[in-house]
Amino acid sequence: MVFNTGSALLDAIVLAVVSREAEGTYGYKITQEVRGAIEVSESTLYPVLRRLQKDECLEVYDREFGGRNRRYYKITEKGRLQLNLYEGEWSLYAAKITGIFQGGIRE
Amino acid sequence: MNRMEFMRALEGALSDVSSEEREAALQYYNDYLDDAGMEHEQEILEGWGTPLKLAESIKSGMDDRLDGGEFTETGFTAGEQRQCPAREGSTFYEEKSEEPPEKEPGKPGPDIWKWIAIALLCILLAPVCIPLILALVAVILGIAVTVLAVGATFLLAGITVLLAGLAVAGVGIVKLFAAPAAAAVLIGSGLLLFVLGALMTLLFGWLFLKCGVWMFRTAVGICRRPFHNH
Repeated sequence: MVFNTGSALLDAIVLAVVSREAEGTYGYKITQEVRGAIEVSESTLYPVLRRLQKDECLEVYDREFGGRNRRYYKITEKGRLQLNLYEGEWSLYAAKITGIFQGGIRE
Repeated sequence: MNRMEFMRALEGALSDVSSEEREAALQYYNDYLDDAGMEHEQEILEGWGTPLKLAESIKSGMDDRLDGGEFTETGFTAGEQRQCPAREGSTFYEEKSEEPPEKEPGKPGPDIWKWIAIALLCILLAPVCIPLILALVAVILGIAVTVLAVGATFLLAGITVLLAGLAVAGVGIVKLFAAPAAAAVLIGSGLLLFVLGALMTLLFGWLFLKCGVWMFRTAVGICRRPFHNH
């Protein structure tokens, strides 16, 4: 990847990935889906998930799966609000950058 | 290092954090290996690096010691401490957005409407504006031609006076022996006329050139303007 991903954008991507699953999703799957968009290492996301959890943007619960407890992450109402803000900011940002690239209308 | 050894070493490296944090991290990384499956286990363990390094990255997310940093093609780069925006409600980025708050993302901005309005205005006003603009252009061209013509007239007058002066002086020289006094007057006034003519020619020639160049530049500038963005 040529462009650096700031931590705000990484938060936004993680929230978006988690929000797509109504029942919540788990660390390995989140990592694989985030990697579909940006390059992150296998260990990168834990601190991010943990922080989002502490900020009450995500909540965790354990569910039995294949004879063991798997930890699930689910988006909270606060996390959804945060994600909306991120998405709004992103549309503005992306539109501005695209506008500059296409050399379109200037103020 | 196999999975058991790795996890034990990781637990050891996390011995200085709270048991809650330690268990959460161990649960996560155990889950991760379980979900990845046996066939990816070794590959993932190698991706994590050493247990110490992994423990460092776990601790980096704790207690807001460090939330910043960037993910680049070389991996995670620790950055400066950053407050999670979630904690501050809707005050979001430190930088103030210059956009008016009512501007909805995703919708066509006021820009598009502005340009549509301009286009409509142009179409509606075209029957009035185009003749007006043509008339204006004609007037400006008329003035320019007049000024140039006047300049050219003065220039020609200057050249005429110059030539007349030469002629008078020439006559004076021819008559020098027949009528010396009259000849002297003729030569004198002839030379005066010549100098006067030369001065006029130079002055008006210079003005004519300057004026012409300025007009040309202005005309080019006006024609270019529509193709410039402000």
